[in-house]
Amino acid sequence: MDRLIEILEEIEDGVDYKNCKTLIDDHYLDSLSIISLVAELEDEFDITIPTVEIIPENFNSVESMWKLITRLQEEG
Amino acid sequence: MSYSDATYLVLFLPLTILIYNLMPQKHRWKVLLIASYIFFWCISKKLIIFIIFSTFSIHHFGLWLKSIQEERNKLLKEAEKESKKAIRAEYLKKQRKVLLLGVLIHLGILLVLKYSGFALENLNALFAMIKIPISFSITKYMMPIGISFYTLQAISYITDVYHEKIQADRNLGRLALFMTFFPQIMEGPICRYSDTAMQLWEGKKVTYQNLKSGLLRIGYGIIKKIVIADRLNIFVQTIFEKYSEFDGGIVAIGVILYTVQLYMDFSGVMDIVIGSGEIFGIKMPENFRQPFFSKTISEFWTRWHITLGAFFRDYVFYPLSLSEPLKKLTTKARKKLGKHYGPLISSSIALFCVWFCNGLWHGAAWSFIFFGMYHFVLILTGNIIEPLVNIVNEKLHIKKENWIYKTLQIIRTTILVFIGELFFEAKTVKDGFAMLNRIFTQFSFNGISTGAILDKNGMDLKDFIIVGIGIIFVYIISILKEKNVDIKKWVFGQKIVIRWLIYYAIIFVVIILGAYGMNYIPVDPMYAGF
Amino acid sequence: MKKIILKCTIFCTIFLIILIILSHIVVPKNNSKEAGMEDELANGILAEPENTIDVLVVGDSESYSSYVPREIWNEYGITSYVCGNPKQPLSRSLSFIYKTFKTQKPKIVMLETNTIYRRRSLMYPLYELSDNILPIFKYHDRWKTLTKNDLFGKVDYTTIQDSKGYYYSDIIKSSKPGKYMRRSKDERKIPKSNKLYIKIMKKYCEKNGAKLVFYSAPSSKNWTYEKHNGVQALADSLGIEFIDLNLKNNEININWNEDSRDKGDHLNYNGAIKVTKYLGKYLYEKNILTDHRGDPNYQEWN
Repeated sequence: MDRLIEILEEIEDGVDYKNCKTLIDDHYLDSLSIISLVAELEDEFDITIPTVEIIPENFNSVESMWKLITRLQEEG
Repeated sequence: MSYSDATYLVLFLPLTILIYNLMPQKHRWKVLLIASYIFFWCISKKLIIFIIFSTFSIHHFGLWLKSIQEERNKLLKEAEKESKKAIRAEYLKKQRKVLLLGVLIHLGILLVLKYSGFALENLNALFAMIKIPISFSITKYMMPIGISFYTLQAISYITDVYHEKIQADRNLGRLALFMTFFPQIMEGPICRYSDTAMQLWEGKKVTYQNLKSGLLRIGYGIIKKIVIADRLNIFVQTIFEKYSEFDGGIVAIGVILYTVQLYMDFSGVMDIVIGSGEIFGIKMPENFRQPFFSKTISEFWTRWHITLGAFFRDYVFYPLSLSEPLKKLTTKARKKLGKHYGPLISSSIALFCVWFCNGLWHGAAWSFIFFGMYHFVLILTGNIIEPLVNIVNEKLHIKKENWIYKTLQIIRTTILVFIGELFFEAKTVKDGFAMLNRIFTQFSFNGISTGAILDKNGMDLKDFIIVGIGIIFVYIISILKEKNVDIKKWVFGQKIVIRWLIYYAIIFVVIILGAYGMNYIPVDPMYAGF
Repeated sequence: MKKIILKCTIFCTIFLIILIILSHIVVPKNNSKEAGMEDELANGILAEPENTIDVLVVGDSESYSSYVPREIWNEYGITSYVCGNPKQPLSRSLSFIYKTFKTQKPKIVMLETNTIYRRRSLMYPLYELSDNILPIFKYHDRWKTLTKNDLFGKVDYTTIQDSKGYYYSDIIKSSKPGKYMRRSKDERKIPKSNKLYIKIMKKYCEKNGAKLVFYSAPSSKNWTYEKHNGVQALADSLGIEFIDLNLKNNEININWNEDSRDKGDHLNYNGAIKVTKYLGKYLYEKNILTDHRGDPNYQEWN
């Protein structure tokens, strides 16, 4: 999970990732950040994130992102 | 029949509500479906065949995809862990072919009916220009009203089944209702299967609370549409048709009032539509969220015609920008250009496609393509100069939260929107530029002082006053909504005298100040033609 | 539940009362254009002295463009009035008939047949009803021009139209009739609801001692042989006389180069006089209408 926060900070710094639960809803992450984020995550965790998973619920907080990553890893 | 005319409001809707509520719950969806087909028949007659075909088609494609998915799941259960990936890939390929076919059929119908004339016209012009003696004869097709809306719903359904976001529906009736539900068929909102299908099927009783709440919303919508938008129609049309006869200042007023008309018309009809749904206990997605408080153009499009923007975001932008080639491009570019400009390249490619489609979706004409490209360029410019703006702001110690800064941003965005809608409505791109030119080079208000501008063009001073008050009224409501004040709750929480006064005020404002009857020409709903 | 029904009833009653009050305020207090009356030409009938009109003409724009009451008065001393307005649907024709019979006893009612083919939305009877009972919907726009008299004055119709409902035009826009009135055996279908209106109209006229007659004014743009056949069949089945002036051109001599004001759509004064001469003779030969010339009660017609 720390690695995830590192990636996030690299993409858009100055956000309190540990506590923020509305990263998408309050526009902390815009579509540009999402595009780089998805590319980074896929590289880093060896997963493919299908476009249907690009929904606010999956990216609003670090926990939900982490859940998404683990779920995709398990599905293989 | 349209949503703001008497046939719908005092005959069709009440009758449907009545029959719906008298039926036992399990048959209520049938009432909605029959009402929807009657409604569609009234506006499109025989062309109803198209939406019936589309319904059968998505039903079939959904089940087809489902059968592939089921076969795959069976194999996956039995398979060894190592072979699972291969099975997935193989079946993904199969599914992809089916998806492609399904989307192409729906897109194909839309393309032929809506765009073939425009495409051939331009091909003919091109051939004539380079002197190739080929010329296609152009057939004008009759288009069912609402095709641009329900086609997107059809595509989203098939795609969502493909992604296994939803289960394919075996129930043809439910799909038919999802496609044809009468309040949304003419002008949207563009609903996803997961938004409305199950709610429509449920057949909830019409409660007194829902009825009141829905009617209040409908009342607000009618005021916007009949009192404000329709009143502006003749004036705005005159300015756009004969702009060369007016001073720049008056053309500017016409242009601003066109955007006002468009907003009041479209969002007003949406209030009627969503209010109608609410009566049946159906929550449809919102299409507007106070768009004129947007600080940037891209924010504007998350607040104006939301469901269209969301469709393009989810079914064009992300799938494109996250496709294999563009993803690779992003990773590469990020290393060379940094975290801001790196992803910008691939996202700009996707953005271009989005806005090209968005422009074309509104109609087959160069002015609509221009309209799309205008927004593409504005958003792209915004993205490119964003780091620069940040640096400048930091140097000048401007805080983004500063209200003056925010207000200036809002004003700038609003002006850009006015210009965009100017090209949207202008007959040709050339006319659009001519109007713009007139505004900037001959800015004066000579016509107003002589009063010549007033009576001649369908609006007298009193009409302008009504429009002014109307705009202020809607603006105040918008501020309250922006501040998350629940206006309905406030109204329903009042004492009965105040509450009834509010109801009577709404009804009689519409009856007395509505732009209907012998002095006005009925106005078609502006978004129904797309 | 009971409470809700009670509340709704009270709400609607108050609503109706306000509607009635507002209707009283906005309804024009005179039948002149200045007082806000719509179709002031047709509504001039309201100011005609009681029982002085012997022939009533109703229909859409074809009626008030083709029938000249003054011409018939000059020729035969027969009094007539045209209650026609643009795009008049049959429901409105019927309203005008009802309205006229309140103060007049016409012996003949002439319906210009172009309106028989007008299609109207489902809501039209409702509109008509609201126009007559709750004029607020029709005259809502009069808030702009309300005067003190509107609030407290009584309705008093005093504006007499000199033309008796005829709309004068001397504009000439010629037309080339082309396929106009080419023979055909086909019948253009008449909407069912319109047939019903005609039946109601006929019954009402008979009950009030008047004869209903169809006539079709020459119009190279609007009229066809198929329409003629359709109306003829309807007229035959109901026993109504039908004069199709489009087929009597060797007697009337309409010249499409100079007798139309808008390329064959409507007749101008020249054309209307030709048509009226024919219709006047027809009315005179009925032998049931009185020559009022010389009667001091009809001074105003001279």
